[in-house]
Amino acid sequence: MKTVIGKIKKNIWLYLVWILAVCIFWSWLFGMLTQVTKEEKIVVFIGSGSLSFDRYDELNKARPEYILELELNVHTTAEKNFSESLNIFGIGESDILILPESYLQNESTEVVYAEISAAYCSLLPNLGTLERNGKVYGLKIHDKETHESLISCLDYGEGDGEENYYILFNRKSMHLGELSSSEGASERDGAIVIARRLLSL
Amino acid sequence: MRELYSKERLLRLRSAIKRSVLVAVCVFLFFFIICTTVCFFTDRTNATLLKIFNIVISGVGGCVVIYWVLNRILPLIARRDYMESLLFSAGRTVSGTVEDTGIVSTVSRYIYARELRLINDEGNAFLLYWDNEIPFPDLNDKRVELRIVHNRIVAYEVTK
Repeated sequence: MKTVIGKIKKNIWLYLVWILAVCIFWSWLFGMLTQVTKEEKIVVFIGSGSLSFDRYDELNKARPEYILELELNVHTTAEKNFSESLNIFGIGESDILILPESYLQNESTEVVYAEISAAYCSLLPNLGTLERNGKVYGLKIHDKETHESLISCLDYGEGDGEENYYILFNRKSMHLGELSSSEGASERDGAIVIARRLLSL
Repeated sequence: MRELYSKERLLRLRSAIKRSVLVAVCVFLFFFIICTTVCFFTDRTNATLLKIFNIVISGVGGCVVIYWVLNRILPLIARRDYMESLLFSAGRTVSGTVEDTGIVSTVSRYIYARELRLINDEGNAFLLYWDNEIPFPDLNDKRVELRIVHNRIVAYEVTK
């Protein structure tokens, strides 16, 4: 027994490296096996005047049972790289987006965001709509003229910096329910449920 | 002259290496199959438990294989190489009186040898090595004739 221990001690670093490698490998693999998939997760991208959003817990309670994770991606429009963040994390990964009007002027709106049907326009509270070619792509949540807003905990700017804000749904989202154009997605309406809760915060 | 090494011994050594490698592969596969099977039964409810199980199993399995490789396979390979270098090299014969220094040193990795001093008829001393794996026949203070390859003794004969 002493000989065995002595032989192990001679090359102890090799055994330690192996054990460390094993820990890293299995942690990574089990992380991959159990990671939350896009079908089980809703991402909300918020681009407003501040980085704070303190009503996450209330929003999280509203998530449907099939949604395992609700992720908030809060950015400020004053950020140097906000446009890049919007493209990567917003348009690229999010299901729901809250954005100021100045970032919704380009022609890609119709390509990027899902069309909101009249039924849903009446179902979801709003202060107006964002229309392109007669179709609704966003619901107004803050009006800079009347200073009225549906989500009270966001910073919409002040004075000349104040803007109209809209809530939009990413066309690629898997949680749009009947708004989705893809077949079989109508059962997953998590984004609509979360949006309804958001609009009453 | 009595030979210390033979081709039969080398063949036995080669098959011992093959067996040892096979054992290592089998042990590795055994632990690998257990861990892979566990992965197929993983879901979010049992992930932490099965992860710890896999870490322990593959940690222990890997350490066993490493121990086996370091302490069984590599020494056997080193001995095979050592024997091959002695069996297939041309040696030379020297004679004289042997003095056992009693020192055991490493002649190459995993190979230990007893240091002997051979004093020839002209009074010159040579440092020679006797493989520590082979029982030393007490040649101390005896006149011998030795066949050596690179200072390693491969055959000996006690002369009068």
